[in-house]
Amino acid sequence: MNDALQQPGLIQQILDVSLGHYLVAAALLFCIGLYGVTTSRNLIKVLMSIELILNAVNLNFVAFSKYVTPETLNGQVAAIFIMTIAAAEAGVGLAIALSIFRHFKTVDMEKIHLMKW
Amino acid sequence: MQLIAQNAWLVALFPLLASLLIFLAASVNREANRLGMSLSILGTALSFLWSLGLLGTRLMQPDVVMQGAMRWLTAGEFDFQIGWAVDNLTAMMLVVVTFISLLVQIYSAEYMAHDKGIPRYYGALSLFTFSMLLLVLADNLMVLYAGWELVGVSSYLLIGFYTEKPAAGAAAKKAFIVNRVGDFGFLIGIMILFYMTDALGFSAVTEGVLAGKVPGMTLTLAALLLFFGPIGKSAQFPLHVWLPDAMEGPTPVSALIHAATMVVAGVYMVAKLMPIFASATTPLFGSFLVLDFIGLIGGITAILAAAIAVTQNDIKRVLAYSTVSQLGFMMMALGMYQPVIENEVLVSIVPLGYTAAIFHLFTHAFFKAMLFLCSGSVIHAVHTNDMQKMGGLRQWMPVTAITCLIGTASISGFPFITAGFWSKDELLLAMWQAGSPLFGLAAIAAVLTAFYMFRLYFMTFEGDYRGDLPAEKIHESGWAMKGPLVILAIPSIFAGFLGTPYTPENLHFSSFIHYVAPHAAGHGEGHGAAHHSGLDPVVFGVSLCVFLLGAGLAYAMYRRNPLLSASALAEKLAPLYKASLNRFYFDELYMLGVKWGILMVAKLSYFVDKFIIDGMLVNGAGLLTLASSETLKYTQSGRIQNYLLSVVALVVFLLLVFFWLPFGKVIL
Repeated sequence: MNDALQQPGLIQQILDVSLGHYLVAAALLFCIGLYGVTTSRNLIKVLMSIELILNAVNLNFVAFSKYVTPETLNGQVAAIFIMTIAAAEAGVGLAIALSIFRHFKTVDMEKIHLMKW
Repeated sequence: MQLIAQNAWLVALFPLLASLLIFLAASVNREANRLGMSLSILGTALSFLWSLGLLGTRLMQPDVVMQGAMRWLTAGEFDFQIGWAVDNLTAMMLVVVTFISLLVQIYSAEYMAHDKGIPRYYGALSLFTFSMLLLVLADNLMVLYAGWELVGVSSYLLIGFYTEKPAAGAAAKKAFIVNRVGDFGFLIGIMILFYMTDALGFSAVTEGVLAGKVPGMTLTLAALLLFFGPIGKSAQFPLHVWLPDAMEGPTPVSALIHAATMVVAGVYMVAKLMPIFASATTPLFGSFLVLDFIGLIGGITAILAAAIAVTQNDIKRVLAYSTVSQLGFMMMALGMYQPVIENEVLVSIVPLGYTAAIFHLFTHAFFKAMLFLCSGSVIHAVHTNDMQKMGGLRQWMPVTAITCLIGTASISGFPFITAGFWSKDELLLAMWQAGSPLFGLAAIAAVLTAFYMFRLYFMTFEGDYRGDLPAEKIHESGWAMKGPLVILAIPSIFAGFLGTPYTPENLHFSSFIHYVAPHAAGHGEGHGAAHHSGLDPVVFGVSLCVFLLGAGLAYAMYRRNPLLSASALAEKLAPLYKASLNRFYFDELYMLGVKWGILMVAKLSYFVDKFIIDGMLVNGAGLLTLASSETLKYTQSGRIQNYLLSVVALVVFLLLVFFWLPFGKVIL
């Protein structure tokens, strides 16, 4: 451990976060979100997972903005835009969820399949 | 005169108007009998007077050009006109058609008095007259064809007039369908000529043909196809079967259709288009020209129909077969020609029987219409068509008997004083001059003609009465029926004097109607040879013998005390007699053809339609869709997460393809 700490550049390497790291983090976040969306039974959980996916995208935007075009703020603007939309989407989504709950007395995704053949 | 000549098309207009008005009146009041009758007779009477005026103009001022046209449609370069033209032949036909038509309509006033649907009858009769006049007036092939088909339609209406009789409906259908068989050839012939010459007018087409626009063999084929029309319409062998069945119609209709008008349309058409037929100098095979074909068909028809007529017992059927036979005579004469050979090459053809055929058409129209009207008078009196149930009717119906005797004498060719003798003499003369072997055939057919006509007369009017109807109920017809008979008896005798060898040249029929050889544009005047031959002793002798033989045989067999037993003769010639009685089995033969030919085709196409088109293609497509959707519907689980999963799976799969497969990048 000491050797490792003493090795010059290791901490630096860890601290020196590159674009790749951000992308990997965002990808992981995306996959977690996707996993949540596809496997959750609870409608609220699905909505929350969607937020995760959106945030993964946001992370990508910001990261690209920092590393690829530092002189402009295009990515940041997009991120803020997405956040706004996410807020609206959450509002609508929760309203639908509430409506579904009132109708079916449940928010279990397994039990809501009106469109089944 | 000028007015009449310039508006000849009005001749056709009067009956058309009458017909429209009658049908209109009939739609308001089905019992508008008097109105219908008067309108029809008025229209035809006007037409008749107008036609007389036209004929007079043609006779006195032969140079007046009578024609006119109306533009109907223009398509690019082509300008289609509905045109009419009156030449000598047309003028004569107009008079004959309107004259017979007028008399038949007057006759019908009494004959049809007790029938229902009189307005319908007169409407159809007027329509028929209009169609026939249109056909005659036409100056181009398409208008001729239109009139031709209209004649077919209105004859269909008239033959099937007694709608309550199934046989009438069947006969009407048969007439229509059999005619259609011939008409398809006619139409194809018209199309070929139109395609080759870019014209439809008679003169324009003839010019095109003379200018060599139509290759030899094509022209021959076109002429042959054109002749299919007359085979159907003029009831020539092998399409003669419809005419005897058409006797199911009212008898005056038979007189009109089967004597003066419809059936002679074919003869008229061949005469009118003679320049085209005569130009078809390329033989079909060997040295067999289209005109030879026409003559041969006519010859077969003449002898065949005459052979059938001798055994028939239905009075109208005898007359019907007699008509078929006489039409055969006319066709035979039209097929007679004199080849003009230069350097061993056939350069042109001079028709020989043109005048004779038209002359026979002219005289035949009168006496055949009269004979039919006589038979109508008889049927009206005894209420049967069967001659075996007649006999001795002369004592009750003297006028009918005498007119019928005149007609019989005329058609059989009673020497010197009847019209039929002179016209038949002309026919035989034409064949003799052409040196055709058909001369013998014609002579035999003429013997048979005299025989069956006198057989008809003797069986009907002489001997003892054999009918079921009490004799005291039989009475002569009224004047509306007797009048036309008497009027027709006059031309049945005197019309012939126009064409005797002793007639002065300028009054002779052939100076008015003769074949005018067409001439290519710019090749000088056409020369019309009004050949007017003197008496040929051989032909004259044959004509005489023919009459004496036929009439004598009939007298011997059918007088009160027969010298020769008809039934014994029938037994001796049993196979021949039976074949003739059964009309040589033509109907059966055709029915067999229909059964085995058409029905098999129909069954086959039914099978193909039912099981292959409907079964495999139509239902198969439906079944496939059903099965696939029944299977695939289970993917619709209604759970959105499943769909999402499949989307993700697909994306993952595509990514794998993209990155792992060597050619993945090419695919995507």
